[in-house]
Amino acid sequence: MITRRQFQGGALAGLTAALLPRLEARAAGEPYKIGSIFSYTGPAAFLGDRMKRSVELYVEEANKKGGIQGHPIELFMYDAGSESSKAVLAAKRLIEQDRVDVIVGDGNRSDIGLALVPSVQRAQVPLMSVSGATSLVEPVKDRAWVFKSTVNDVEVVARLLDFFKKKGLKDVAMVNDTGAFGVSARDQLKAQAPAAGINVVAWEEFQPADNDLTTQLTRIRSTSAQAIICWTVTPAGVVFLKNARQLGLKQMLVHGFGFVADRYMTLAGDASEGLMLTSLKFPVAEQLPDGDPIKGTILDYKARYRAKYSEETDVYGGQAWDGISMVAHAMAQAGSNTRDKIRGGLETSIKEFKGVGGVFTFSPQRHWGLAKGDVTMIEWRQGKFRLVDL
Amino acid sequence: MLAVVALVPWLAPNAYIVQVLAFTGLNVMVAVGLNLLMGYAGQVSLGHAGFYGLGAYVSAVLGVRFGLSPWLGMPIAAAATGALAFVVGIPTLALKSYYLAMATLGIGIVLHLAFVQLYGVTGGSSGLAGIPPFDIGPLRFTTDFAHYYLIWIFAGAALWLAWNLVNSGVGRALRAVGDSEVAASAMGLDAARAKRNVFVLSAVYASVAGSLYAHYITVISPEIFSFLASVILVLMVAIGGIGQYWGPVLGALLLTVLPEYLRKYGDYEVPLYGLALIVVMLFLPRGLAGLLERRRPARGASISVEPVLPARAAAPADGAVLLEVRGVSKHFGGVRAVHACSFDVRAGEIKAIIGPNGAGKTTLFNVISGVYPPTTGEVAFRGRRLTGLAPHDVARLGIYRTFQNVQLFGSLSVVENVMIGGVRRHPDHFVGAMLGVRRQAVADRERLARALGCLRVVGLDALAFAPAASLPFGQQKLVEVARAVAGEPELLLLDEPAAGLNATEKVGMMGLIARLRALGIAVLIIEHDMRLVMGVSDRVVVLNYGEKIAEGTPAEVQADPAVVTVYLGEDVESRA
Repeated sequence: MITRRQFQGGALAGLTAALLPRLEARAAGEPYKIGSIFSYTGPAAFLGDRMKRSVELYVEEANKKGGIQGHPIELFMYDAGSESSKAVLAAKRLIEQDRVDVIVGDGNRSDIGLALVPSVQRAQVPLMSVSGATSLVEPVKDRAWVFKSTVNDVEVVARLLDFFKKKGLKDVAMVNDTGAFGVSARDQLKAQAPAAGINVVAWEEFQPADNDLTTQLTRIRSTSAQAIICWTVTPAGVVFLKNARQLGLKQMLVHGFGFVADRYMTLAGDASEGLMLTSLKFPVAEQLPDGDPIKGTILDYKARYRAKYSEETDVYGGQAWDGISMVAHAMAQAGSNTRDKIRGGLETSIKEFKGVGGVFTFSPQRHWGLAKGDVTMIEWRQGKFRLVDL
Repeated sequence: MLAVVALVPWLAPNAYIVQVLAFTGLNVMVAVGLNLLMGYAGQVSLGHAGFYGLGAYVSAVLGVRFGLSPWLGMPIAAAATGALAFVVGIPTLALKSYYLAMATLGIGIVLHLAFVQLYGVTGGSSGLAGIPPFDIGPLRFTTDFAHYYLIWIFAGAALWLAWNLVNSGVGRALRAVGDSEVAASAMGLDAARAKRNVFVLSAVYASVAGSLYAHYITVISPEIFSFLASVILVLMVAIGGIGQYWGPVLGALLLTVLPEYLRKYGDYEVPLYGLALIVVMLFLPRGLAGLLERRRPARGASISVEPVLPARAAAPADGAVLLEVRGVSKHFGGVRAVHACSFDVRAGEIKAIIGPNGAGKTTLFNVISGVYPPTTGEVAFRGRRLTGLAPHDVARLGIYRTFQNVQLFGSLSVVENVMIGGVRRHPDHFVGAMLGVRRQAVADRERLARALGCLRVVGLDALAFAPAASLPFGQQKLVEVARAVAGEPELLLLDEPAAGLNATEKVGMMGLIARLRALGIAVLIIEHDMRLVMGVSDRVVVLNYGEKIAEGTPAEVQADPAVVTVYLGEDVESRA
């Protein structure tokens, strides 16, 4: 038989137990809501998968440490499925239904990211893009709410031209795929080469799905090109290397920053030996001098990722990591989760921010943070990426 | 339905839901068009995302590069897409089977490549941005709310037009073409043209939806219009229920809303989606619309229409030559199926063609009715050469036929089958049917009355609204005769009308053939049953190995030694 007193005591204890976690959460502050859109299914998934995991890792670790100034992060992660209409709906859901404060990730493909721009501009929600195209953040007056955690091809091409000058190369040939990535780099090269005193003696193109480039390379063979640049993110870049080897081309072969993947190098076998690549510092972090500003951050991120998922991350996962890191930093600095405060925070508080992709500096006029100095020249030799020119 | 569509955005908790439902409207438009093609005309398109994309790109490019208003861009895009579909349809739809599926597969891929490759115009794979939104005067469509209504007004119009179409003579004709193209052509329907009309219409639906998408989202890129997207569209029709009016609406709703609903399950989204599709496919073979189907009386059963008996044909006077077969040969490679065959059929005459199996009788029918062109020789009808005419042209001149292996339209009721036969006297107009023109509806009602009259002639008026496929074989043969009579032909070709009939049915068939003569229809019969042949025919033609070996009255033919030899074998003694 339970006495009245016992009953009251038990009820009180139960009530306290039920209320306590709520009070705790209250004390910890309202959650900050962050939305994420990556393509972790479909063709773009080979980039999106690690991006998604990186963001999830960051949020998990941040929440363990008490969130952003005591505000836990609530993450809403949606798949764009490599389709822009799906991504547009995901963004709409994040903005209208989940009412997130900021979105990190734009479906990790330039065309998908561009499809999201009108939605976030209209709703005035900050978007941290992880894709390559310059037009995602330019012109800034029409892209007030879009930022980018990657490098623009403007800088990458400029860096490459510097390298050619340093090596004393005058004549080069360009072979790009007809996708957004390749075409954009071609346009940059066209714009910048004359001023750099580099003569592009051949402009060749191929389809992203092509499996034979001998026609293009044979035409280049008869030119005075001393180096051949290939710009693609697709496996056709492997074909480029194999065909060049078969034709016995002796020129320097160069790949762009979308091809820095062990898998591609292995696929090309012997043909990738000695290949030059433009890249962020990420793949050669271990070889960087100890004084390098971002060596520590890269190694730290790689170690944390390995500890959590028991696999290696890559430079693309790093872009997402930088994206969420900078957004969290901006929220902390702004001390707020209102959308325009976050935007302001990104523009004013990301100064010399040490990410894993480079040292970021945003400003109201510049919504991409990296500069020419963040791009290095590396080569593939004996099964490893090696730093050539910092 | 209308009220639900109009009220939903007011009940929706936020703009995201409104956008999902607006996208649903776009998919409904495309799927409804595709269902007309797949479910009614029996053709599959694997390139509809390409047409959707063409509609999007043409009006987007006109808007971005030339500043053209979307209100002009959209119809221009629709016209361009329709024209493309028309041109693609000419060669592919003249052929049977799945040439259209193959051609559209190619077209879809070519269009997708064009969107990627023509980057000077389309922006290539990074897409085209800054597409102007719709506007009315100073008002611009910017909210999801406004777009929802805009899109559903178009979707509603698409549904209304499709409703009119499927419930008209044109819709019935499309089902007939989908069921049996050979029989439809023999009833005077231009099957290729019917299919082409629907194909163009469905492409235009897709194009308009594409334009709406482009001006709504204001950014487009090629991957939205890839082959995979075409497959999803076909899937919407399949899941919803092919050939059922509400099928594509349900399919589009499910395949647009379900993935969004499943988003909350994170990593399990894709497997759950796949599982849902498998479950629907396994347990609802007739699609989601199959769930809605109630056992209700067949369409039209409640309409009380007084049957109108067929009138005596205004044929030439008895005895005038109707059909002339002059030295017709039909060779398939080295096989001489018919060789140098000549005979006439006169008005009011009943003539039989007999001969052992493989004598070339059905081949001869196929030559007369335009299925095969003759290798040499010619056929003339009322003085007009038939060589080179398609089966539906031959039928329109007044030669109708039945088939040895019954070729009824299985998805239609008995009376609807017969109404197809009546198309010759009152042809339907595609656009008129779509707009629900009253005159056409009235004409269709008259056609129903006449069809009921034709069924009374064959004694099947009680079964008028039963599904044709549910009838026993003997009655199906009678339906074929009624269907041919509905065309008010001058000449009727009956291919083995008594085959498979029992004794009583054979007697009935003999009486029926005699009644046809009373209607002023000349009859040419292929038949093995000698009692029937000898009982009803005025004259008999005997074929053997493709050649005519005898012709005359039944009595003459029966006495002809050559005929006796063919049927009974050679008299060994007399040979010796």
